[in-house]
Amino acid sequence: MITYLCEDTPEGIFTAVYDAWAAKIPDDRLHLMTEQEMNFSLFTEYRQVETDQEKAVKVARSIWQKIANEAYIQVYYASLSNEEDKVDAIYHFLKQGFRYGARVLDMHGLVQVCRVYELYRSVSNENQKYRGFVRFAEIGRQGRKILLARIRPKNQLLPLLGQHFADRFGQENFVIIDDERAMGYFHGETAFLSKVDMVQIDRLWQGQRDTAYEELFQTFFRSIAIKERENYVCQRTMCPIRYRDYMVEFSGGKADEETQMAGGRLQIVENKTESMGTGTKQMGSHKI
Amino acid sequence: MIVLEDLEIEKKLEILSDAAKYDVACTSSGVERKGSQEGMGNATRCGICHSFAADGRCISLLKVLMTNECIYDCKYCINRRSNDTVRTSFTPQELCGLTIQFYRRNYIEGLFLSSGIRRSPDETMEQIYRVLFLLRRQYHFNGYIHVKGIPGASAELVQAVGYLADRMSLNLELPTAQGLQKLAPGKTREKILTPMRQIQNGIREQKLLLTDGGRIAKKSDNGSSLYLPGDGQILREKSSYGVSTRSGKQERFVPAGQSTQMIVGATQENDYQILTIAESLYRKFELKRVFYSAYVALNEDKDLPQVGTKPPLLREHRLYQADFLLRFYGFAAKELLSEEKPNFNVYLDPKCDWAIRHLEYFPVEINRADYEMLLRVPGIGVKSAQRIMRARRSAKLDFDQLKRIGVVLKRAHYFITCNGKMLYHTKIEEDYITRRILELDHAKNWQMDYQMTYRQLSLFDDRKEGVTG
Repeated sequence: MITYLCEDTPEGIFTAVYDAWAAKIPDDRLHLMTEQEMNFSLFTEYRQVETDQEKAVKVARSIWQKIANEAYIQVYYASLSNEEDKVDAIYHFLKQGFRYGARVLDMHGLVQVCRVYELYRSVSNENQKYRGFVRFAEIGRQGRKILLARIRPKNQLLPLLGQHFADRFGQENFVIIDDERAMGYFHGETAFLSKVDMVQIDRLWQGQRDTAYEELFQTFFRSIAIKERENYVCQRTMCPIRYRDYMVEFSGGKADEETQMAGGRLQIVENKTESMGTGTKQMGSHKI
Repeated sequence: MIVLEDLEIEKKLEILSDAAKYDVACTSSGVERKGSQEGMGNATRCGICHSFAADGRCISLLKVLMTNECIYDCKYCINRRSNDTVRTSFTPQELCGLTIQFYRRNYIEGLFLSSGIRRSPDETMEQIYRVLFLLRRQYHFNGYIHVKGIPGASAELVQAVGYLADRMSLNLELPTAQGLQKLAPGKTREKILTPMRQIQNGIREQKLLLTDGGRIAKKSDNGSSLYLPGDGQILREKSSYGVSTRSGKQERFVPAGQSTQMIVGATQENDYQILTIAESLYRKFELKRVFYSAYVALNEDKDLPQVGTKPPLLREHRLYQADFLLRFYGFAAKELLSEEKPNFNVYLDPKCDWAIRHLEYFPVEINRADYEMLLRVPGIGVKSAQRIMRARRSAKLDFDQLKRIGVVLKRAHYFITCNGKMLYHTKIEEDYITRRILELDHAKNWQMDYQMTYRQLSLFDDRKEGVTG
């Protein structure tokens, strides 16, 4: 068995595909994975993939030219997935793709095609949800304010969300932090992805912060609901609890919906100040 | 009427969103627009939901009234003149500020602006125009705007607003003219349909101008009648409201199309009447959407259901299901309902209901049936049908593959064969299939009328204690 270990980025994965393809190893002896999930097994030769921009671009270009743009999109999204088998799935999909061309996208009979499609769909669904559920807070002192958002997605969404918000808020300085991966997307004069120090982020998050509009939105959120139609099941199906950690209208995450609806204003305010006070401890508890 | 002009913004927001909440539409779909250099905002064709309120409805737009003052006394309406509530209005600046600040925090996709009629329809429409103009030109807001057309407003104002908004809608309010006369004495069918027609013509005209110029007139992907913007110049007279085309940039007239809304359950109309009207609105007025709003009995009136009557949510749900069948599944209203059977089946969704009454068409062979027939199979939606069409080009499909491409067989398997075989041994018999499907649906329909919530308890769930302790 030969296992390729690559960096968990689209570039890293594409490089691994390039290397494995070039080495012409038979499928039943080949395994590709990202370096994070390290469970070394016996009788396996591990090959570390050195991420190489040029190789990655070559792979991307061949997907466009020999398969289709749609295939590229699917593979790119799949490469952002958090599923362990994604690199294998992408490799085998591309193998079929180079064999059949654009037709491969219709060949749902092939397991490889279905798997990449599944990965693509799950990343794209989560991305769609987060496009709506990301909440920016205005943080910092006068003159040095930025918009800061925190998320906790299953998949690596920063490149996709970054692109979306860069188009939307072209003039703004904003940062999106992925708590799980301790990474941030920074948008200002330039835009880039980078690892971040979560302790610093926490400190920034608890610093000076403009809450006036957060309160206004909470007011709006409460008064827009029709009491006679209350339906928390539907609310939770459409906006699952795991997305709510940083959504201000759910006041810092796991707010009690029933009291929120019935109790009105006072309770919300209480709830909010408390969650601000307890700081990191409170945030930590959401992870469960 | 108690009018309070200078309330603080929070109070205004509370009153004017509360007053707007019975308007159903909150969609931000139908237009794709990239961000701009100078301003803020873009729009995506499929729209984005930003939150979900306690009633489970999507919050996509900042849905508010300009004012809840109103000269009319429509019986069903919470803002009717005779209701003794606090009245207030936003200033255009306040509204722009809220929209922009909410938008940059990603709370909303844009603005949904409606209004009570203050003094006259024209004055109200002009106020709305002011907000939109300010928002688009001064704040350079490039996000989504949905605006209510005010019945009875002048054509010129409707036109001017149409070039600043993405979507416009005029509420039909009640399915029949008699209903309208009885409950909304200030409005007439004509006052509602005239601007609706005007908007339709505006959209059409623009389409012609875009295609006639021999420019790119690419059909949008959903096959609808909207065209993507070309770079053709629109020949349009300079309006006195100052919405002329700036050089090099082209405004489009109501690019996301128009919609409307009907109240269900305030008057005696049956489902067949409502659906027929929706159908003709789609055909004759080329509307993008018709929304249905289960009437919430709030006002005391002899012509209305008693206060506290439960809103007919299941009925509303059935109407939406049927509405989708009209728009995407090639059904006609008269196939689903008739004079003899004027209301929807409480227990079965309209598509299942139709299928069970037409078992002569089933089972359908997945590998041969045409697209239209696939769409008629309960459990197979537009996406599934399209995927089946694509997948079967390269191989014969069996049930495993159907599952793999994401077709849910729970319901569908009673109505289909793959290579001549059904999934289980099923009798194509009305009673048998009905019974089986009812078992699937029972819990869901029950839930619709008796909303129950529960929350899964977690061992580690210390959300409350941790905070208060």
